[in-house]
Amino acid sequence: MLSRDAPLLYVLRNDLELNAAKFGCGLAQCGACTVLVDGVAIRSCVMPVSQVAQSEVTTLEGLGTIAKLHPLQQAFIDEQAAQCGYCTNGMIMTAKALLDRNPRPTEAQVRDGLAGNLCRCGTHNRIVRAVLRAARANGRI
Amino acid sequence: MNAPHLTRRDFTAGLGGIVLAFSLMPDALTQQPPRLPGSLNNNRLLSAWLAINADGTATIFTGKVELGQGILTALCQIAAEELDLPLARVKIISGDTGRTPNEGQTAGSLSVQNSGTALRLAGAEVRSILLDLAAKKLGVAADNLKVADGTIAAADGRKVTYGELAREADLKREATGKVAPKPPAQHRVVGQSSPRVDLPAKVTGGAAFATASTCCRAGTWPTPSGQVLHAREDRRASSATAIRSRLTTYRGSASPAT
Repeated sequence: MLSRDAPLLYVLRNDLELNAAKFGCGLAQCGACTVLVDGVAIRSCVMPVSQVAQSEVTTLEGLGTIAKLHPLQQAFIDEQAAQCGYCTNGMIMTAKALLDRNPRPTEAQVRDGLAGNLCRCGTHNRIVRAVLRAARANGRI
Repeated sequence: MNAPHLTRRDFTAGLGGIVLAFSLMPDALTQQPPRLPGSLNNNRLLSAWLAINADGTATIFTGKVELGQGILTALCQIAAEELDLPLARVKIISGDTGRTPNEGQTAGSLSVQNSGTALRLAGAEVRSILLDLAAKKLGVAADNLKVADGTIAAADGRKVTYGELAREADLKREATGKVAPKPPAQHRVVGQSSPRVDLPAKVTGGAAFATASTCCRAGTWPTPSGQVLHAREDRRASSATAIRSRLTTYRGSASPAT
């Protein structure tokens, strides 16, 4: 039996074995656990699973696969926008929600949109370039 | 100032004498195997570092792990360079204690220095073993053979691939460390920027982190000390308390093999 107040992140990782969302701080402060709930980027480490029971939850696994990458995933590879890659899930999912709201963001809007996602390797500039690249790629589709 | 007056002569005399010791024993008499460079010294079998597969790919093994520093890519480049294989045909196994050489910790910017050196020398030596096998097969001197993309060709156009030689190549032998790796001027893969081999898994949520490893599936794992770890499947657990108890179960479940 699932506990109603189990964090969505725990259910994703431990029960569904969807490991893209990461446990970073566990306090909704770093963004590594970001998933989309009905298209909105949320912190799954503090979201009780009972609150998303009627919602559509999208994880990074749902965006694309290695064989069929989502434009954002492709752009992160093209820009080599990761070192350790622990923040990458949150960066891509937050960027996905951002691009869905605003398909052609300015660089300032990308920086602002990702401000709540922490990366300690120092890959920030590549990540911003990757999101802008994906926005351009989306524009062509 | 009443510091005691002590000359060097007084000091030496007071010691009574000095003993100097040194050894003239040559290495050969001490029965130490010759020192090999990098991590090759502690992991001396060529087969510990790489395997040539029947499909023409090479699998390389490293005790170093990816921390975001790009080490897996760098090591693949080094091996591809020495083997004259395209980068895409080099697969790497990293940090699997059952399969990879024990190289201690991944720290101190030493991975290319130690693991890279081992793979560089092992790669050069395996390439020369494959060349010797090809020379025998084609009936020409190894010096007259050329290697490109894992295919060894004689001057008359006859060819044999690494994949075809895979079965005969005996790599369960100690590295000599004596086959010279390529001089840097001939490098084509090393020194170029290559896309990181670990990123596709990281951008798709694949198995790229230790936190994704499952510890609680039903099963047993042998440990180096001959014990067997038993774990039970408990996929329903999901609350923080349950997760803690799962980890406790795992840690507490080591028992002697029966």
